[in-house]
Amino acid sequence: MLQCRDLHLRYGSVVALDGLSLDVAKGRMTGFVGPNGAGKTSTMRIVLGVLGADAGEVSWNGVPPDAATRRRFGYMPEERGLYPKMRVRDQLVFLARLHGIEAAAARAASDELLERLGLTDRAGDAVEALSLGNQQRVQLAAALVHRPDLLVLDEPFSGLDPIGVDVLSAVLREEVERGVPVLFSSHQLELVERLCDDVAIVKDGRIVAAGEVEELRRRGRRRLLRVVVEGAAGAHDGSGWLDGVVGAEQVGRELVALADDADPQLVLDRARAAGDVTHFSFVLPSLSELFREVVAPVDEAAGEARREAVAP
Amino acid sequence: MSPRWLVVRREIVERARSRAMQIAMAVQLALIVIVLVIAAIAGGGGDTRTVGLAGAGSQAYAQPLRAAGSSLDETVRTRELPDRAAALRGVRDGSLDAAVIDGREVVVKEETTGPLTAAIQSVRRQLALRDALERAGVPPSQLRQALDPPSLRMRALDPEPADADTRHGLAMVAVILLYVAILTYGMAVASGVVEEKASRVIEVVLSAVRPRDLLFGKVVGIGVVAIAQFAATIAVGLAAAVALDVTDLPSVTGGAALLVVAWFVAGFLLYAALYSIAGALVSRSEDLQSVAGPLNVITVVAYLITFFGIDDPDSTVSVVASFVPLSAPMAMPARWLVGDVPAWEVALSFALTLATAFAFVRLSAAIYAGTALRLGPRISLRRALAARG
Repeated sequence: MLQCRDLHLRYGSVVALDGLSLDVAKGRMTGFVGPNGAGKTSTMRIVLGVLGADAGEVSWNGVPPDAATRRRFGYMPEERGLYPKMRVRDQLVFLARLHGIEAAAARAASDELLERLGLTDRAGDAVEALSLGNQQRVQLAAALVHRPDLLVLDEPFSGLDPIGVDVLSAVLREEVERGVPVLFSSHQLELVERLCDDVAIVKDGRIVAAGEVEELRRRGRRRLLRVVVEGAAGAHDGSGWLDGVVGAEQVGRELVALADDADPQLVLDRARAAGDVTHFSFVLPSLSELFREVVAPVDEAAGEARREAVAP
Repeated sequence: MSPRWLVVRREIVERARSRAMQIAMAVQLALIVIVLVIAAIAGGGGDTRTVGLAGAGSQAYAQPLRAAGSSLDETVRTRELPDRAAALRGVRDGSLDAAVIDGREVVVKEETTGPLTAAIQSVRRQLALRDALERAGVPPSQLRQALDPPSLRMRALDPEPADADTRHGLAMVAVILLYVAILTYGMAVASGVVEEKASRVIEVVLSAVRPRDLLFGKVVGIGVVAIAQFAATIAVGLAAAVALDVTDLPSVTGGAALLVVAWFVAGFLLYAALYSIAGALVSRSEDLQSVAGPLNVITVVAYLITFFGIDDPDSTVSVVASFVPLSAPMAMPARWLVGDVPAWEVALSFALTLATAFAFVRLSAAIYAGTALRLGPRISLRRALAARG
């Protein structure tokens, strides 16, 4: 498993990382989200060793990775790039060999991967002759060709069409099932919510929320019920059927917030007494909502300050 | 195979496979052959002169003229012609270099002065003298001695080695070849080093290889290809020159040839390392020219110092230049070929050159490590070195 502890990094006067700590567990897909400039790319580069941190440490299975260990990592950088004039297959074989794979195994792995990504008939073409979508597939292949022990992907889904997204998701899933820890960054939060086991939200160079996706959506908030009762007058204005249920509070149209000691069954009983219940479910905030909650406060405060300044 | 050698191999294979490079190489070789063919046609067998002899009075010129050829460093042939008209025709159409008519007149196409006409005049004096002595009744044995006396005994107080000219020529050629190779292929090294940054593949590669290994592999790989290209060019040029009889190959001893080649390789590596620093400093090919400019100046200065020092190998400038690493690859072999340099001096200078080349690669790698991921405008040397971590 990969651990980053208290990473610090500054570029001149700009603080890129400010004590960032992050775990990526074996066999789990971890989404890495945060606004632009929050420190995602810097973190990934430090993990891969292409960038040195000012302070803090990275450990792999409990020890700081050396060059040989890092050669067993797979990386897809945000800045996409391959040798434009080199043939697709030659390129993959070359990269696999740089990662320490023997010649024959490198050729076999390249062929297998090209097959899996549907690029077999383009194997002899120069990379620059491929469409952007196919180039991105080759880029993914470059990260996978040496069967890495850890996968780090910076914005792997950006620029992909829905089919490309499906192919990439399936490939990443396979790697996770193989037991490989996968860390990828993305701005597509629905995708992260759908694919990832864990998520880490980064802001201003530090992690502001991290953990299992479901748990994170539930954590630190009252349970929320969505209840739709046909023919109940009180459901809309809060004056009707919910009165007297301890710990339950109408917080919006069709939404009921429950305190820890409130009994959802009691709410259901009252609802059924009031009319026909057509919908009754727990709701969790989406990752996007969660993201806005943990990342936006400063912006909101700034917005309020602005509003106050405008008010007479 | 270690990462370094994988990088070296990739450079060689991809460069050899590049269509642009194959075409450039073919054009270059074709140009050389064309130039040599033109030289061969224009030179028109310049080593053999043909003199036409017309009329009875000219026949006596035949033997002495042929004998005079050796002092002209040329072969002189004579051809007997029926009459004056034939002689004029021959000179006009270029089949004759000169014609002697009736032992009284010399006809040439353009220039009336020159070694050949001077030789004809000298033969004329010789013949006149013989006739006068014969008429005066000098016996044939004395006549022979008067006209063809034994050569004077020669003694040089400070004799030049027999191959001095050859060695001087070789020194010039060695200096010029290295100079041309550096100016031609130095930029190839610099732009090759920028390649990974310009195509942004750098991050993928650096996640598997240390910057130092990548840079070493690139410099060596591009260097090997450049030297091979250069060697092919020279080989084709020499083969064509010999086949077309444009020039004679100098007879060079194996030792001298080995030394020149060793210095060429060392010098090329040194400059390849230097140009790789220019490549390490920038992230886009467009910025390369401004960084490489000063390097071209260094190359030209080293060349000029060496070139003007060849004739005076023991001057202070020549001696200093043969030890300063940037000029040593040109100046030291030149000094060694022309003058008298102890072996230890050559060895010391060679070691200094290699050590400097190595230091340049290390410096270049340090800069490269610091700048590799700053994909933007070029940064200063100091900041590049400060950024390495």
